[in-house]
Amino acid sequence: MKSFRLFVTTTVLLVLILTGCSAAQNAGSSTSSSNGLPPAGQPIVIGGTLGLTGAYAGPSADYKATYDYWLQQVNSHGGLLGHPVKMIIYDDESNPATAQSLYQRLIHQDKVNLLLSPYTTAIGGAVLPIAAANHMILWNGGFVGIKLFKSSQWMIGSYTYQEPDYSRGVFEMIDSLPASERPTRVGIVTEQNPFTLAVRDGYQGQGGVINFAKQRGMQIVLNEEYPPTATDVSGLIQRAKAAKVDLFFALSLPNPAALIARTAYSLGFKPKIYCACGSLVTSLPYWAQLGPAGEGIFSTAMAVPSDSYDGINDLFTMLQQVRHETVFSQYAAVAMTILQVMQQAVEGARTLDQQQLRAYVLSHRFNTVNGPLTFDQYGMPRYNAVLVQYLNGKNEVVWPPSRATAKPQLQ
Amino acid sequence: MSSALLEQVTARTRWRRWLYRGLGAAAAVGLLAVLGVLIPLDWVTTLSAVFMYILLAESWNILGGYAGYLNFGMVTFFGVGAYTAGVLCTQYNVHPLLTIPLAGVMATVVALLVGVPALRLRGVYFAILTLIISFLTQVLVTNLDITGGASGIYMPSLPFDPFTNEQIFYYAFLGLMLLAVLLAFIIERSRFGYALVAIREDEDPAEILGVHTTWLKTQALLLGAFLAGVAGAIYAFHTSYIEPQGTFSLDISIDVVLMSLVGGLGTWQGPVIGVPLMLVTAQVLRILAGELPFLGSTIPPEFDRVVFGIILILVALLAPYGVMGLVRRVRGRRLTV
Repeated sequence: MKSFRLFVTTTVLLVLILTGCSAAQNAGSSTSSSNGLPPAGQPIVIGGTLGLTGAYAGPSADYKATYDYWLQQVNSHGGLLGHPVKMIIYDDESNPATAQSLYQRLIHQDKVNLLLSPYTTAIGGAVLPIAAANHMILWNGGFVGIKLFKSSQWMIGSYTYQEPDYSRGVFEMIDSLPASERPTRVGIVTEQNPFTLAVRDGYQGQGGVINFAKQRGMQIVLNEEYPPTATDVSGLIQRAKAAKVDLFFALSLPNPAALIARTAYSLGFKPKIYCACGSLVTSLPYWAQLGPAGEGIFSTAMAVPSDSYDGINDLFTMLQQVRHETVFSQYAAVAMTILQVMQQAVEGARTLDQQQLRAYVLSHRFNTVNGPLTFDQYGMPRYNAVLVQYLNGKNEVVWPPSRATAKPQLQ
Repeated sequence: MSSALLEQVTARTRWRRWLYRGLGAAAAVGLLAVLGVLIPLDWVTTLSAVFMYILLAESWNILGGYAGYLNFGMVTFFGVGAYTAGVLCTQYNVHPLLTIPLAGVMATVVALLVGVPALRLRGVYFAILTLIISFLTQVLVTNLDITGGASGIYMPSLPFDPFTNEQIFYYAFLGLMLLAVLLAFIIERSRFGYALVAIREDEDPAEILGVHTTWLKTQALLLGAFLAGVAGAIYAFHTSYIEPQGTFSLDISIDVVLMSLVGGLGTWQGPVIGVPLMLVTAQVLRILAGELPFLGSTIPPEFDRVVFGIILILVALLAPYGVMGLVRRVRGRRLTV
């Protein structure tokens, strides 16, 4: 009897606490106008999650530093449409199920006005249906995913390429070489990850390393996958060496990319062109620590400080001071870009209505650290990327010639 | 005469105890059902996860808790269930509701294939084999075309508003969780349950005394696998996107074991206590991180891991039989059957 009473008391208390929290939170948030703006003096609330702990903690730290920097900047300039801006970023622990619960909270309890995406496709793919079901735009600086963009009307992106175009710059640069210097034997090692597989295979027959290579009559002599948890890739590198690969693609996320570069260096594998074409890896702080193993490797980037785009140098200065980064982080660039697009859209459309904001974004041009951007009907920015080569400890733009800071150096 | 009276009083006391228990259970179910419409949506999602993990932990408990077989392969059956639902629904247009029991059946078939050889092993060898099977299944799913490889499967969404969607999953997991708890409650008081406990206490004498140990362990594994497969199928529809790294993550298996351990192994109440304790604490800490001041800044996101570490250390030191062991010790009862 005693335990029964204890149980009932505990459960009733639980109900009261949970429903009480709900009532308090619901009472605390209100919007006063038809354009969704809060009452005067009340903040506009932006929310999202990042994998601040767990597998994606490295890239997420760049996002968080950039969010904090933007928030400080925007509030010191009077906020958005005269409203102060509040930002709520939860740690999703790099876990899709946790992220789902936190996005429900952001939408229904925190009553955020604008929703930022988490980092990476595996987490973003799980939260996009929640944003869509609540008719909220997912302002996506966290991941690429042509399939997701084309299946939802509720996403605006800031990556200026999608998976099929990721290796496009490499092949365009090769096209510009004299025929005798062009590589002919292609080797591809791909991490088993949705993003890198799409970089290799393209989408609906368009783009992708395999299609680009075949269109140019190149021979694919090695095409292997490896798990994200791989700790030894020497077998793959030995096979690439044995197959006399002269155009090598390591399609990887950050950690395996470093492992492959280090192994290739230690085994003396030097293809004519080596592209770490997977996830902006040569722009990450750890790439500098690879020393000679990281030298000469190509990668794709969206913006580099030499472009002098809107705010890019200030952002780089902040990253140098706060994160002690010596290489300009592309994650910071896409994080800043999505915030700039969001800010300009809110200020231009003078509303927080999600449909109107989307319409505004699709019909206007935006100045960002990734250059001037326009968007297609799916909310994807038009293609804009450069090919960089890591030379003497920094990323030099080697393609296209109009933005080049150095000439490509082939092995 | 006095003996008959004593018997009558005992029967009445027992009847009254069962009545209170029944009323308590009915009140609990009623309150949980009401919570689904009263509490904020993020808590509906969090409680759905709590129910799912209780379901998994109860499934694990049948073999792991009662029979004492440390199974690190629960995620295999969970993942097989998720992928069965995903493949059947997206590639063969099977109705989503039909995929759920089929997922349970497929997980049971896999358990049968795995269980027959695995359950001939004991102790650490069994634990290691279940780990290996988990990794093998993950590798297989990552490399098969039918499962979408590493790219995974996008599941169809339910055509309802966000609240209704979440509530559907809340009640689905709640219903299954209640079924699993009831099953564990019955098993604990059945000959099957006593036989499993006998296996845990000392398998060889149990076998000599006529307990069909291998068959009983296989039954326990199959039962748990079926429930885990069903849970996996519902999870797949809930999460909308499944891919091998997340769906077959070893973390799921480890979490299930730890939550059961914290609550109390080999008791039906263990998962019911351990899972909410761990998951609700995690959610509260996540929300508090970034809000509460800490040494001139805010609580760092790693804080919840530290708290969990402390909880586990405290459980190991003060309550090696979990919270239920502690409760029984306080009540002065025996710790084991």
